[in-house]
Amino acid sequence: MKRTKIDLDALASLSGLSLSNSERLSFERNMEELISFADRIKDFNGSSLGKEPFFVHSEKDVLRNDVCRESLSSNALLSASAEKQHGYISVPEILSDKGADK
Amino acid sequence: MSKNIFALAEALKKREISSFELTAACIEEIEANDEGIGAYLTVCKEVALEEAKRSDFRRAEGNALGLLDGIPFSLKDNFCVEGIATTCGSRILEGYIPPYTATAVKKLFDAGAVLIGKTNMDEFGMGSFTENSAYKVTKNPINTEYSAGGSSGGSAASVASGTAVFSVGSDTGGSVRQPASFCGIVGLKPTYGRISRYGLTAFASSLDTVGVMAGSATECGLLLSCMSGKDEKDATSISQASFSAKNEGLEGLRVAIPRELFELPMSDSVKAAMEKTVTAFESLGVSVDIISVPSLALSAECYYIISSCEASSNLARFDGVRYGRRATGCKNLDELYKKSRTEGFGTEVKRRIMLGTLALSAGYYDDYYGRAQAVRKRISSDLSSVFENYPVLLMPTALSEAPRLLEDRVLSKVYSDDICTLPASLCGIPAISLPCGTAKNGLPVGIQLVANRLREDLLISVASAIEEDINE
Repeated sequence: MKRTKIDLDALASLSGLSLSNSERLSFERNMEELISFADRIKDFNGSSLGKEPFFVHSEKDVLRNDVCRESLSSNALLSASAEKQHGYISVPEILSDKGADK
Repeated sequence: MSKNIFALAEALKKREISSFELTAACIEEIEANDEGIGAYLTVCKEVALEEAKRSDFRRAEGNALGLLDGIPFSLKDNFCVEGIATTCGSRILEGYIPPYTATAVKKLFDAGAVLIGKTNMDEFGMGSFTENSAYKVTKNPINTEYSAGGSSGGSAASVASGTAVFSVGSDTGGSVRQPASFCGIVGLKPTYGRISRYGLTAFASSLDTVGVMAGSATECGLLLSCMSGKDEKDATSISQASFSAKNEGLEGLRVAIPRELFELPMSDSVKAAMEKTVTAFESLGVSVDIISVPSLALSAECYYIISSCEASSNLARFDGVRYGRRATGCKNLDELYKKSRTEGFGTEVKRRIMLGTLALSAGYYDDYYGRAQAVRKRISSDLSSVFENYPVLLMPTALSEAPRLLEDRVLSKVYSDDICTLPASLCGIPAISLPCGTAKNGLPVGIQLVANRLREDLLISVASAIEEDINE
């Protein structure tokens, strides 16, 4: 279902962002302008191109074999996180005694 | 002293200069003048001087590693180097120290090159003027009232100001070529997959390419030889990745100029640069024709939709949890994500993430992302056909010389003006920007040569043959 007017707060939320009041005004203008810019592509008729997607190079199935290999150490990776406990990254609680929180 | 890699390698070999002296001179220049230019975010003074000493020691023992041994270089700040801060020009990665080194950079280290510092950039590569960095604006060393271009503006400025002999940047939509053009140096974007992206912070994964900047095309060829090659850690690096330069004669070569780019409004200096290049080609027995590739007219819209969609996915990893800035006082995980990202990202990054999220969402996906992919397929197919008759394309790198810093700009026009560099990015094909004289205000102007996939050998041969003539 296409929106006729962009719900900027919903879009920001989907993007993992929140907008201040002043940002909301300038982003509204920006998004209108950028959507008009992007709209120019709607006139392109690609029906003759076939259904195969575009690949930037010819190599396909590039995933390596599912074989365990040595990687970076846990300590090296943990050192980058702001908060850690007992060898784990710690974050605000996801589940509480009252049930699942959002 | 010439800052050409080959000349310096010869001088080092003959003991006319040491790597320590060369590196110290670069650092002195940074300390004296970089405040006025803003090329660097991090200067690796102690590490650089140590590595320079090691290079001199190797050379004294008769164990020099090759032409790059002891040569100082700079690195765009979206490449990971173990133990050295990597910010991508963003507050969200303020203080982030990677635990590993990018493959392309490791190859330079293995060749003995000396890292002078990490250079300023538009945040996550999103920008054309290095004005979107969270830390500072980079100015053009030729005239500091003007932009150095972007997003690899710091890299270009470091080479143009003589504080690095060469620089490594990333080119997603022109971010190596355009700043090279604005700063009067050579910038090469290789074939997608030639150089491993392992350790390069992803912006748009199907477009990001490691690129190089130096004083000449031959130097760029040397750097490509060093850095290219299949990498198991990058699934998108291609099997035929390794590169060796070769000299090809130009007699009988056919070059094409796409009309859709040539007939765009451009500055007089760019027009003159194109005409000068055509004359140089014709004097070498190269024929130059103007051809039509109508699909190129949609390059900008196609690029900005696809790159924003890919960025909205790639930048989802920056959520305050595993690395980077974490917001404080958050009651739950959702608030942690949103607050960390809102505080950490700049305006342009937020704009592009939101544009990408919109273009990928239900009701918009087919009209925007789906159609942009179709345009991309068409552009790639059209250029493949052109290359059957014309192995090299000629076009401007940018539609003007560098603009004034921090001018008021219309966003959609900024995006549209990138059109000259975008076709090569969308198709994953190699392109090189060469300096071609200056505008009346003294600012450099560049032209761009483009070749088919894996034809960097031809590209660099042709570029080497004309670069001196066109930049007189």
